[in-house]
Amino acid sequence: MDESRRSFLKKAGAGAALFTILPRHVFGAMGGDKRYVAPSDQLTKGIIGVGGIGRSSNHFTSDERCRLVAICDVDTEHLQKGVELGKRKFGQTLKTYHDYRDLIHDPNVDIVHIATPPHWHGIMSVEAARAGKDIFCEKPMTRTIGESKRVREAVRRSGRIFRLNTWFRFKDTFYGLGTEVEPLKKLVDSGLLGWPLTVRISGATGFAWKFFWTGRENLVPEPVPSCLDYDFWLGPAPYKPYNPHRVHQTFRGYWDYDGGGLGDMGQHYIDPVQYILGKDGTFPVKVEVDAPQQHPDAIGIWRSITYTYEDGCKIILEGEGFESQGKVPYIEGPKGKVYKGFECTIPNVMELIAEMPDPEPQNTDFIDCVKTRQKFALNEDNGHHSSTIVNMGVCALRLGRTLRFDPGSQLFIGDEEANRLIDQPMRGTWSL
Amino acid sequence: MKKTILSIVLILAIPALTSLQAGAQDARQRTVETIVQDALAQLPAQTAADLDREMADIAASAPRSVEILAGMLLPAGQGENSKVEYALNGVVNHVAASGKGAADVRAGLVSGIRKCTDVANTSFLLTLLGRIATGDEIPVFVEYAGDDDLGSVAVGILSGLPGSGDAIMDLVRTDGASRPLLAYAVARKGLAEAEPYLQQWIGELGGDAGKDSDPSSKVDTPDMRSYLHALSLCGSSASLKLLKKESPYDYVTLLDRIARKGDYKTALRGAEKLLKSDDTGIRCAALGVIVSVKGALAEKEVVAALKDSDREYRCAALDYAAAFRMDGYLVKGIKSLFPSLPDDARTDVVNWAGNVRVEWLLDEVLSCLSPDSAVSPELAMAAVSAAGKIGGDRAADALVSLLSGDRELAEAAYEVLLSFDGDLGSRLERVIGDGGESALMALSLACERRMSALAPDVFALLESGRGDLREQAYSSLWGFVTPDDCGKLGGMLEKSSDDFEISALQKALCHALKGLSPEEQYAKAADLMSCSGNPALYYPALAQAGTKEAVESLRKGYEAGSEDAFRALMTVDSYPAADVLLAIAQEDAGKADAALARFVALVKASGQDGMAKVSRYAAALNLNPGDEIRNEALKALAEVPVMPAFLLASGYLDDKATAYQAANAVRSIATKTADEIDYKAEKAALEKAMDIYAAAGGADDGYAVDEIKKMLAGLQPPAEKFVLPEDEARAGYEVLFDGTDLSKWTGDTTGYTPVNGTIYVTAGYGDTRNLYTKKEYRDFILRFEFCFDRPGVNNGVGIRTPMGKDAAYWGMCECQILDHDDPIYKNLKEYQVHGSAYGIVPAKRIVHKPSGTWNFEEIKVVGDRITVTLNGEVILDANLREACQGHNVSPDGGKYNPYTADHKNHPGMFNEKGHVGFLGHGAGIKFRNVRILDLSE
Repeated sequence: MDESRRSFLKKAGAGAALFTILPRHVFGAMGGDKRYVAPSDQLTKGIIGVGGIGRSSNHFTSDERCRLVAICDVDTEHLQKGVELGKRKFGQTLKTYHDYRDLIHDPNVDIVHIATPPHWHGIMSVEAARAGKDIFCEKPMTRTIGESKRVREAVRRSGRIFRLNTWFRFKDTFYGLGTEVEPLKKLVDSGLLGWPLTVRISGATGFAWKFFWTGRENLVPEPVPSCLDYDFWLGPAPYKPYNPHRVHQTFRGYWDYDGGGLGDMGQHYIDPVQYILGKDGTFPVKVEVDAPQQHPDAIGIWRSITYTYEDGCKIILEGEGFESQGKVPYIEGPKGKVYKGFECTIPNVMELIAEMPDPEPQNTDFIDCVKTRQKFALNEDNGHHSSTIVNMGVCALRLGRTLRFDPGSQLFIGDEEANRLIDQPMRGTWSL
Repeated sequence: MKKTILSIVLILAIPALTSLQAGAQDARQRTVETIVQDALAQLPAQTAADLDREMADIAASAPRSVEILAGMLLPAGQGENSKVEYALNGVVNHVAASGKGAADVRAGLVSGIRKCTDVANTSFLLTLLGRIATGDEIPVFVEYAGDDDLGSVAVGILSGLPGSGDAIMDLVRTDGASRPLLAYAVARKGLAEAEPYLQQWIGELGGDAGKDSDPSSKVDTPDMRSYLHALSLCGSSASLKLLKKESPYDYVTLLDRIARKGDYKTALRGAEKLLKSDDTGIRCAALGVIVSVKGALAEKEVVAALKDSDREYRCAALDYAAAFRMDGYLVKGIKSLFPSLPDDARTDVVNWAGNVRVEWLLDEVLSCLSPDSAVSPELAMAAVSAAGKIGGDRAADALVSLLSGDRELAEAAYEVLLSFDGDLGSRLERVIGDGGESALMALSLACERRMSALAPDVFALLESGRGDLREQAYSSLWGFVTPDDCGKLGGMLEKSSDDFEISALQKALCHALKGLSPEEQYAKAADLMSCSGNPALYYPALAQAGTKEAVESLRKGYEAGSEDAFRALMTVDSYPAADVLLAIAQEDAGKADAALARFVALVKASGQDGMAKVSRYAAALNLNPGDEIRNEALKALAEVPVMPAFLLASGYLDDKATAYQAANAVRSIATKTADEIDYKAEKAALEKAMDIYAAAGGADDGYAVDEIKKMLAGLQPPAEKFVLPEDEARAGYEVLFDGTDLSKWTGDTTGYTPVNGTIYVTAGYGDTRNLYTKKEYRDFILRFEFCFDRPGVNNGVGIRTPMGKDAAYWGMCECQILDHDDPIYKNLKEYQVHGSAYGIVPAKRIVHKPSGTWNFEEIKVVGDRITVTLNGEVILDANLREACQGHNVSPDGGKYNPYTADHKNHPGMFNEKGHVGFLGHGAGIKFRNVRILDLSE
């Protein structure tokens, strides 16, 4: 897409051809410019966790701007598959590690890509920051509020660049909503919808909460397969006897490692909303849940989760099978509503917002951010905020009650038990 | 007065409470065991209110109830714990929220913990206690701190409890728990007294002995790491030397701690030395310490950092300085240094200026944009971006002037100006008016920002003598026009003979009309067309209006051979065009793919119901278009969660070109559909889809595999084929439907299909949407089972009916099948309830079993008598001829028949024989085990 824009400008510059109006995204972001990267400036990365996500086609990459040099996993089968994939895909022999600390401290690794289950994200990000490495961390940022706070501090302390990997605030059709986020941001910024706004993240507006990621109760212990270092896989998580459902893919159904569909998709779905509402620097003050009672280990389903900001803006999550019926707006304000596919109650809205300034350009090229030392569009700051929204929901769900949150202290108000979920003790020698 | 009442209530309440504690019975005289059992039966609670009620009971009978529950936990694998786990977790949450009864629940947990012999269960109980524990429970955790298996949990919780410092120090002093665990605990608590112990432990591990035994490893052992880390969080200046040697990062952390404790001098001295480290991360962190101590007074270090050759360090310095960016010394320092900095350092400053809005750097930023500044491209680009963010009129002037310069910068400036929030119009007007080099881009930009105020300037440029300017004006015109310009644009269209101008004017006309309703748009376009010599000029406007009339007008144009009309039809965004495009695809193979692509998009966006959409997609797929179109159709199918869509999509799983989208459709439909899908077909298709996803290998593909696995695990194979019970076989019953085979039936065999052992109905209402026995019957006993799949279902059994006519009137009767309990039927006539001979004799109104339950029904017809038995209860037994006193039709030949219940004529009532039929009024019902005994034989 960059190409068409560029060639148009080349022609235009020659004075011969005409300007065609192309949509904004055609420009690519400012940071996306690759012109100043000399081959000797090639960066390197190592991936920790080469299971489903780490080996997926978007992440298991190696190119002239950033070369994959090392991989790490506590499952030798994953590691072997990663090695084979590296040979097949890039004709490269990757360095392999069992212990992520060895990968992080490998002097040949510039960027650490964390693709493990979420209960590791905090520890690994902080370790990478301590070692002076830049970080590409898969969503969700962390599985507790306390951990993303630590990551944020550590990244800042060592002057690191951190990217949280979800991207809808700056590119791609936003799931089933059928539109990108940018025009929504522009519409909201225009004030045409009024204020405060309610955003509904629901099957009815194009978002599936993936309730197949629920845990199982009464798990029967099974022998640990010889390829898996289960103790290391658990790491800081409480010890529970091995059952295959706890690990690899299905780990998403257990509170110890993730937060079900809410935990795992939440940041994908909620981060762009935080951006649209202009709430990157604050937190909701209240979270309410409507759900069946949750099991202390296995994650169950829920009907709805409602976040409220101090100014009255709301984010409402509707569980699968509990969606609002009829025509459901994605964003609703006192003066207008927007539905899927950017259908809006305000007539001719696209033309109306065309007159307004576009949202400010974002730094969307991670490699470029690493080189120029500028914060990535989704970084340790706004990432900590959207991660915390998700984790506030997780706390409320686990406790089955409404929680109030103080954006200043980042603590729950008047709820000691909820606050004990902010920093959960780690196991063994693990600490943050 | 109120107070008195309150205290009376309290006095009354106290004995009740006491008796509950002592006598262990609640107000309903249940024992604690019963209370626990009652609660367990209700768990997991589905609502907060249910949960509260159950948990209040358990809490009120704590500690005994909690003790009982804890005692019920079995070692994993030896039984099911989940209900007990729900109960214990629930009661802990309950008392934590209400504050009432927490002490008793804690006591119950403590006693449970002491009795528990299973490690995993003890760990669970300790964790629960940890969530509500107070200082009183500290000894419990201390007790387990030294345990090999439970020490980690116990110490972890201990470290999070208020007031646990002394207990932790006691453990440290006595080596009462594993040292790394204690290191973690003292670090979380920041216990200064732990310092000498940590030092000692580090010493005992000893320098290199603290390194991993693997010689290739560069990391400390976990034990060493935890001591060093702990020391950085609770040590004092007495540990600086040690940490400096062993772990620079922890050393900086300790400096930070020392600074926070007020010993600025020590902290600064240490940090300043570290600024010379060769580890960038450490230098950054050290600078961070200095900034946190000195605040704005650290401007000197920040300014010095800008001269550093390491970009990471420079940028970290700027990041720290953001907090005091308005400080006068910093402003002065950076301003005076800026001109002498190399381009890469200036780039960092400029990026910083933009990212954290440092307005006072605008001069410096703009200086990098002036034509005579020979800055690096990187710096120039950074300056464009920063200028846009700092904003202001001067930035706007600089950016607008860049539009005529270097292409790359012009591109960047253009983008930045799109998000410029200020007066852009007058600047662009001036540039456009000047007609200079930048006028072209200015026109484009003004167009994109819809600056309709500039319309007169743009119209004027359409006459410009300069070719490039004139052309740019034409192609940007659409962004400036309003509905008032329609006439003018029409006039220009009529006069122009240049193809480029015409298409630009057509686009402008469309945009001018955009604010109007479709009907108004059509009216205006038709108006212009009526007085035009070349109606095709207005096809794009018609297409945009998209009303029925507009589409019809385009269709006529196409039939008359106009390619313009076809092109316009391809842009119509409303459903009326779909039929026209499908017809074109059927007639003209050369246009088929293009037309079908639009067709699919229009059907997808339409409000048609699911079944209608599927048949439309099937029509498109039947024309066998190219892969791209087939994949589009499959994507669209994925959004229609009905059974026929599933079957249609699964036909495309084997073709490599369509496999992925077919897999997506199959998965998506199977997830969402309320329809029943044939077991074998569903299983086979889902298995194929899972393989396709697994092979594709993307992240979301992995999620899809998870999802399909879960679905496959939940599929239930259908029952065996139906075989007549012995007595019916002896009596001579004939099986009409055995679960698989509809060969004895005719009629709408697509709306009635054998699915998982049932006749599954998707047919809608209508005289051709019925299923009939091939044979005709006179007297018979029909036996079958039916089941409602969703609320409000309506169907019926046709008795002695001809095919293709309404059995209720042209057959002997329609024996009603209806979910009459659904609220939508609240105004039902009594002769319409389930079992009635419709419109003739009402049946006894029964209450249906919940949907999803199978019902057994028998309909016996002998002569004029019909007897209906539902689940063993006779609900209708009537002689129809007697019921209407022999007048199945009105004696006077009119439409009103006073002798029938619905006052209509029933001409078929006395038929000698006829077919038996199922008469559909829509989906949602299943039939099975259908058999008949022909009594006439």
